Amino acid sequence: MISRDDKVSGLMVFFLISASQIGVGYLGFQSIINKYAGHDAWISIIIAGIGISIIIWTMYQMLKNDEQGDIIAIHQLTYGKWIGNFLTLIFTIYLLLMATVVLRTYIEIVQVWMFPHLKVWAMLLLLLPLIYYTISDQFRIVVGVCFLGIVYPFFLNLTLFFPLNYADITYILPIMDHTITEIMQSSSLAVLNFMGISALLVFYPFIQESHKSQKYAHYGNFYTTGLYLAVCLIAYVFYNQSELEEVIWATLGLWKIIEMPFMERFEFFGIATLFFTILSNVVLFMWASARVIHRTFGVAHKKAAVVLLIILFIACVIFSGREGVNILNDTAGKIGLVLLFIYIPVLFVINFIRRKVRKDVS
Amino acid sequence: MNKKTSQKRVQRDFDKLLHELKKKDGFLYYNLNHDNGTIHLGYLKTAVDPEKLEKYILPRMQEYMYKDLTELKDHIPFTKTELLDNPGQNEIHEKLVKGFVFIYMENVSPSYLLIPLPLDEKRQVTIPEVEFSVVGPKEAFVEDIDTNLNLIRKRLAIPELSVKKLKVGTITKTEVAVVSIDGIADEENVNTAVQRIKDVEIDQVIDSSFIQQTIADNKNSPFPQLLDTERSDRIAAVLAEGKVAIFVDGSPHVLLGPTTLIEFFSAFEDYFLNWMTASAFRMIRLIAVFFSILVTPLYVAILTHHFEIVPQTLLVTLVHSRTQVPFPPVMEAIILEFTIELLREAGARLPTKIGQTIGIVGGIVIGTAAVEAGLTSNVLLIVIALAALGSFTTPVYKMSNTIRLIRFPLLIISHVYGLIGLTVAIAYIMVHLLRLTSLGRPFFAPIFPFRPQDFKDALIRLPFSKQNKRPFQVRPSKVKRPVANENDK
Repeated sequence: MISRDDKVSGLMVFFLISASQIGVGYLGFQSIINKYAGHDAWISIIIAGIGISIIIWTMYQMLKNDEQGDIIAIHQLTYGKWIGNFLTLIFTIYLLLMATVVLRTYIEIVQVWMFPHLKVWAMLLLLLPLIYYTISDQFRIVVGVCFLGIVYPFFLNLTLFFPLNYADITYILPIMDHTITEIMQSSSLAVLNFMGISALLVFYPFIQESHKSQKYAHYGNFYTTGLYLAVCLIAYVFYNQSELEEVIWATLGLWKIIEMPFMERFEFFGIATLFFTILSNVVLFMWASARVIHRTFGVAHKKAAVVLLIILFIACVIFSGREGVNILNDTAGKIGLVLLFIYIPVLFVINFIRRKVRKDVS
Repeated sequence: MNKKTSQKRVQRDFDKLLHELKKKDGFLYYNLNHDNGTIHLGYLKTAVDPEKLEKYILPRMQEYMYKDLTELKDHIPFTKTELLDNPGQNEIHEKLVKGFVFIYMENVSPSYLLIPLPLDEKRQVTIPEVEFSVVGPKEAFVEDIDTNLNLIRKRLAIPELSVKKLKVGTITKTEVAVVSIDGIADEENVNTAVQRIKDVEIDQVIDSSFIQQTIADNKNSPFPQLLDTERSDRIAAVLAEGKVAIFVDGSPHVLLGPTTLIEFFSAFEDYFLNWMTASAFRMIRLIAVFFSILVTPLYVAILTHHFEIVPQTLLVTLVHSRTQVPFPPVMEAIILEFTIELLREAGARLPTKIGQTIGIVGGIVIGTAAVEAGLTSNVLLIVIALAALGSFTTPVYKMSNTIRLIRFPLLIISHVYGLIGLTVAIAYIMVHLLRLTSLGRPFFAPIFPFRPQDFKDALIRLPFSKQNKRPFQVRPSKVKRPVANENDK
């Protein structure tokens, strides 16, 4: 059983959800989601946000009705022990993939913008002990990192006012110039930046009075949606669509024009500060996957963490260069889309029927 | 008949004891004839206050009328005198060392009278030197635990003040007192403190820092996890908040816990000033700490890897000041930091007056000469001097040491990995602080676990009318607290 000391208050769900969502995507999703909807892609962010809120509701409906209330228990109840554990294992791989995507993309950014000759393994040797140090103790340490990962980089949002000096509102006019299908297609791309919420399926039992925490989860999602919307709109009034096609990291480009008497090239500080958000992202996924392994196979949490970190290291080294990072992102996006919008609703329905049947039998 | 044989045994034992004691250095022994038999008196010269002995004991023994020791005891104006019949040799030895005088009377029962006359060598209560404040009370603790407890009892003259005394140290058997206020402090905190002190396995406790280190939650952390203070007013105030204080005999510093990181940066003077001034000063102190930790590593990181960050006009100044310097920024910074540490260490080891001179010589002469010789740039000299100054604003000495210490690893990592390395290093410190606890309570509160109600006395200090709840950090049994101006609300 999870001790009372290890649980965190319901308010923390807000930070956990936001921290699990906001990651490297923040730096450059603008030029990815406009593939179908063009300058109307900001609408697809709202749609994606609403979609995610529905998924959060679905997850809570499943979690609430279970005593232990996590993915392992739900899987075992729904599919029985063997198939359930097998699916849980796939879920772990997905969590691990998410961590790899975030970490590897961040290292890619560091390589491109700050240290072109930085070796991936050298950076990892610096980061992996830190991740281990965070996830090997109580869950509240992970929550603390997530909390600070949202609060501390908050000031970065203020810097987005600088580019507004050069904004041209006509870039996003006329509104709704694209078809609903195009906007929905863009939404499916935007979902990659919201995907982290699947960690909720693991950390749910660590929340005090967890069934009452649903509103905070939605607030967290709203915060993320609002933030993305703001960043996206600012980028779309700053760049025109043809420029956006050439920009890979649009937010970094926005930072580039900030000038202060004592500082230029703000993106260096932006990338460094964003590390706290990246860290919270990665530690949450790594903690969740170690926890799942621990729950499913009874391996000690610390040992599971070590093994998973080694896998993370190897995965990050294998996918090298811009192409590797792109492959990672695309794969994770597709898997995440399937997981969140197809698998979770299906699981919900099967789980619902299964519980009904069981209740009738007993 | 029976009585007589037992008297004989007592007499025999005494003769043996006397024979042993006479071999001891500094043992003084007198005897005196009395109507009922000889009276023997003995003590250790160095342990006993001779003035008291001559003034109160010796005259009364000769002049007063008494039949046996019970009557004599009534004439002697000391508490904690003991009447014993036939104590073992060991007990007598132990008592003598502690400053007792024994009086043995032949043929009576009880036959021993032990009078405590220890030589009290106490320092006077003086003004606080480490945590000096311009306004407010000026009483500092001294080495004697009873005096210290008395200082607190004077301020908190309430029956709820609970003092739990323990003995620590296999050799020193030092008296340690865990003090708290019943009904306000959380039982669990008190029990944690008592239990940890009981579990300490150490042969000597010379100072409260021995206890501080042995009962720390994480012994391998550069951060002190219990606050030590020499101010009696501070201890009284935190006891009223529901915290636990640990007094150690022989130490003028009293420990308090559970504490938080931010508490280390709040000077007690903050409570004597108007809340706005106090909050401003506290903010300045916190900024000074961040500045002190970050500014030199930032200098190294930026000048080594990312000089693009610096605007052109500023870059000209920086480059110009560095043209003569043959070292990379990190070496330059380490040399200067090391010099500052040398000056501080030399100043701390020398008597005050010479220490001041050293400071001036070091600061002005070495600094100017180093710049003129082209060993360092004058921009860095300013930066490092300010950083050192910033670290000295921390009111708790042990914390300011920690701050200076963690700068060095940051310097090196900034040299190797630039800004990213610095950020990762800060993340390490952050995670470490998140993991730390003080008496089992989170050390990084109220920031995390996020407790908005505790921010009234953290980064800023709100007026007393807003301090109507005791900090949640210590889980006080009574949360509500009477407010200064209830009508103001």
